[in-house]
Amino acid sequence: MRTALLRALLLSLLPAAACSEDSIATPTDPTTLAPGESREVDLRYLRFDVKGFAKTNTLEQLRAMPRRVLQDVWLLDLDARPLMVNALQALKDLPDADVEALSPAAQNMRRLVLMTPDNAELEGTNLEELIAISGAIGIPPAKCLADLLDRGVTDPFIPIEVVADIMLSNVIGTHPNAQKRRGKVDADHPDGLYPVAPGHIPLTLADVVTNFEDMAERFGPVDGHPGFVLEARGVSVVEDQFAMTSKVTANALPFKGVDVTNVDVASVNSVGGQIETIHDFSDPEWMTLTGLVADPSVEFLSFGVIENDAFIPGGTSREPAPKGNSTGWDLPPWEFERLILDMVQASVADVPAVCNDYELGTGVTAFSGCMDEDGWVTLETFNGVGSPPPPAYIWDLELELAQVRLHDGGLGEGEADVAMSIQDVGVGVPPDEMIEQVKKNVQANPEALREFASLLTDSTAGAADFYYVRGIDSLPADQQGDWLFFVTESDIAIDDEGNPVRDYGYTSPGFFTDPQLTKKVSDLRVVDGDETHEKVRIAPGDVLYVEDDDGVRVRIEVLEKPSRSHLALGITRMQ
Amino acid sequence: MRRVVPVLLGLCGASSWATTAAASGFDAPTLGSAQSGPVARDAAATWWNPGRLTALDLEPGQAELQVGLGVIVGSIGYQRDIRAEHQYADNLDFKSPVATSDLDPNKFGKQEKVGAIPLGPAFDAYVAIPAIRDRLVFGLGIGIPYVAVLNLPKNGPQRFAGQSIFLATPHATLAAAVKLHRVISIGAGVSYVLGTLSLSKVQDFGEVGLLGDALSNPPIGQDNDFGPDAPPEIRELDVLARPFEIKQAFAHGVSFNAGIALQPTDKLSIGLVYHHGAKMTFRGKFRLDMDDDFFTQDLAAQGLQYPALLEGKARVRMRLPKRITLGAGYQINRRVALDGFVSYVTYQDFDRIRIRLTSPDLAQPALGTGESADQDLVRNWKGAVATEVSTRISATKKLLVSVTAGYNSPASPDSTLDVFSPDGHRIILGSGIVYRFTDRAALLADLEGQFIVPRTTTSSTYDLGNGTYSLFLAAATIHGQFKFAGRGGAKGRNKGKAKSAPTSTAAPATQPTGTTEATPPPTTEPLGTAPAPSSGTAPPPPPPAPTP
Repeated sequence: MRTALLRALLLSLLPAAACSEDSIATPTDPTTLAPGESREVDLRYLRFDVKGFAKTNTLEQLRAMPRRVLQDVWLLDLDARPLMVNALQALKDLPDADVEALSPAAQNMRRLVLMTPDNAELEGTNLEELIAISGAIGIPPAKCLADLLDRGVTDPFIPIEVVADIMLSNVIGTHPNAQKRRGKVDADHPDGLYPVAPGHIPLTLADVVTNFEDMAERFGPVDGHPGFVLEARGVSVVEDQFAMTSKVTANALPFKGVDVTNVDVASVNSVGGQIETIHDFSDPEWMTLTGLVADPSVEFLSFGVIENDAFIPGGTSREPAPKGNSTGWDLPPWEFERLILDMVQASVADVPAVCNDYELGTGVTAFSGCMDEDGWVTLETFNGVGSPPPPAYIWDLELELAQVRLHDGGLGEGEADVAMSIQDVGVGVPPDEMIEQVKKNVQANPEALREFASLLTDSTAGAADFYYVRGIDSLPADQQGDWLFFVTESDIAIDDEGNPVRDYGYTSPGFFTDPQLTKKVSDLRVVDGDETHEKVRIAPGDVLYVEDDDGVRVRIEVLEKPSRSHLALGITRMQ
Repeated sequence: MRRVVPVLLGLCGASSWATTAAASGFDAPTLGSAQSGPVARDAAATWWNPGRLTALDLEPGQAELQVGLGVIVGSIGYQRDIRAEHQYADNLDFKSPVATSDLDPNKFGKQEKVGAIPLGPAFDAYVAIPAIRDRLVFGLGIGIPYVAVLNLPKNGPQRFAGQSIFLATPHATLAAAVKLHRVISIGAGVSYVLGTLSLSKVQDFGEVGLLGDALSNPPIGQDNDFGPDAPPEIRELDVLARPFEIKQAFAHGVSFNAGIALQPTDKLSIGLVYHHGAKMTFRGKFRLDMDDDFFTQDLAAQGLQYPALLEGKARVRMRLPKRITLGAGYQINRRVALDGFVSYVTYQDFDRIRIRLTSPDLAQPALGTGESADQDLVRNWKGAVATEVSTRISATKKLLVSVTAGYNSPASPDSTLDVFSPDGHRIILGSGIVYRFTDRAALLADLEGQFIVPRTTTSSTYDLGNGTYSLFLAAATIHGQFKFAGRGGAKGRNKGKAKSAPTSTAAPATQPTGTTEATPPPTTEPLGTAPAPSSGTAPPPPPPAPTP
């Protein structure tokens, strides 16, 4: 109280104090420009040229960015083969207790994967006769099968690598989300979709920062494809300490433009126009990724294979070559029966023609098993030793065998769709290799660069219709001076979801010399590295006309320059 | 004579948030009247020299009141002379050397001349009350020894040094004096100091370490030259020129003074006084206009984002200087007296002003800056000497005329000189009259002018204050001097004194030396502080008892 009184006394004694007027004004919001109304606006071209500016985005920061933007930053096509091989190996090595927990169909499938000539159960198939024939000639049936396939008796009928390859091509490779990825719309890609390398799955920044949280959704059933990932949990690609750092050399400040609706100054991110020079690729540190786990893995992965609802018989003819006439070839590539056909065919592709004769103790040939270079199998007996199956392609024989064994345990046709779950499967791509691929791809992909750079300098604000660029002294003479650039779709700000905050509704983008907008004076010439914007060089006294995205048409008069890097415009609304 | 103390403030200028500067010229030219001083005999001795309080011819129950009002008006001129290279003001090169193409060839040489007419009030009031006859006297008073009032063009070339300032530090002093012997008295006082400060300037963020650090630290990591040592070529950029003001900051401080008054002969008076400085911590609110896209949105993704209007608390610490003064007065003859003083002022105390701004909005966590920003304003002032000489002539029995001449040496070096401290070799000329209407009432009218010899500096640090400065200040004040007699014995005492000195009305009560004072002759004052002059100058009659 005393202090207050003293202050009051002091102020009353010393009334004329300086600083009495308010030297700091409060900013006000501009109002809409009325028809016929004119206003002046001052635009500034300011450069804040940063060199080697290292922008680090933590995992938390990246996750907070618009998901669409993250999804548009394509990093690499991840080779799924190591993951598939690891998954099959894990299935093979499954502990007994876990095997018991599998469904009957899954157990049957596992046995198929592990099937060798030695443990093959041929009962109930055309090959069952081999058991009797082998007994008659005194050799194990496994020996006959192994000889026929030119491999050891304990070697799998279909090597895991072959299973993986066919799964990649037939199941993963046919999945819509593994065939195309989103990218920039251009003449070569009018739909904005780009092909994905076969056997790969596209990986975006969104996948990395979310540890592939939507893997099951993306690679589950889509558009008639049954998908190949039923469930995925605990995908571990990055650690909490993950950080993505990019070095930038650029003007970090946005351009200043005008929203003609209210003649308000707005900002346009300038990074897009500098994309060619923004990163110094000769610097190995131009992009660094840290915090990737040493061994990316999936804690729990469930994948499935569906069978056809009907029994698919093997073919009985060499024709049509080279696959024969089994109807299994007409099935969708991801169905079990078709997978078996492809797997067997692939597994014998490199097996040379082989023919083995088996003699009785008397030296008389009793049985002959041959497979030619096309996979056509001919089994013959002599002297009334057994009744071998008729000639067929090896895949036709094994198709029957696989279908029979898949339904062991009384499963009916259509009841043996398989869902197999495995745990702690390695993705199989070392982080260093992943990083190198990411850097290589981002460097080679201007659109990814643009999106990535936009994460570094999200500086667009307002709704500029055009903006001011000063061609600095270091540019070629014909690029120097004052320029107005008309905005493009990429200049529109995005919201928290990554979507443009407004439509690009310009019906007549560019600058014109007549109110009817029939005489365009702007073009796409290169200025300061930009060749995507309509632009026009201006000088005091010039008069231009533009129309905004709301159809508001204005007259722009270029006024005397306030200073070297400022531009004064008089803007009058025409209607 | 007047105490012409360079008023400190130097709040900004070279490298600070707030710029203000102390100009010798803003020292309040009036404390007491023109007749006041370290060997004067008036109630203003409470401030000037408490030891002289016992020289007043007052008895217990009597009192002397001196009240003054006035106006201070001046003229300050400055023509900046830019001697260093600067880049275009609308540019933003942040590292020296700046490309030749970005250097502004027109930003060089003499700039438009700016001026201001500072205008401010002057006020003081002192009262002296004896407690023990010829032994103990109390003094009480209020005065404003330091005042700075200045308004300069907002957009003038001096705007980075300052636009306006208002500084006042009223002192309320309670003093006591003891006469130890008829030759020597001592006295001391303690002052409560209330300070108020308002100022505005354009803050150059190019000289603010906060910005330099923010840009050089991760994550932006751009090597730059911004900061207190920023070279001229990256200063004074439009985008970094942010209007700043501190409004109504207040400070509370305590100071003291102590003095010795000697009267070795009838004609000679000597005074030695020490004034202690006061530590002043001004606390108020600041406003910083950050309404530029550069600060509010353009670098938001990099962590730099301020509100358009940044408000918070301001703290400004400074120290009022110490001062030691030696004064002497001599009665040449019955009509003419001469007195003067010389002071040494420790303006070296004023080496820097410490400023702290605090606001949650200042914090830029991503850039490693917190809610507070400290900024020292380096002033590097040096000790100054102030001296004045006055001649006082008793023209008639009721009228005294005085003339004063003085000189102050500059406190501010060329390196930190700026428009808020247009300091220099200061010449002081003044005159005053005293007219005693009655035994109890006198009117004192004073007029004083101060000017600095136009000062041109070419070695201002960072080319901030190069140019030519001029200053003229005038103070016109009127004081009323009244004597009051208490009830009872005082009246009888005065009557007795009147009988012993019936012809003393010609001399005003403010006579500085002991020769013409309204003091009864020694015969009636065994412990008289100032014996009646042998020359027989008639002292004024003792004041009558105050009117009920």
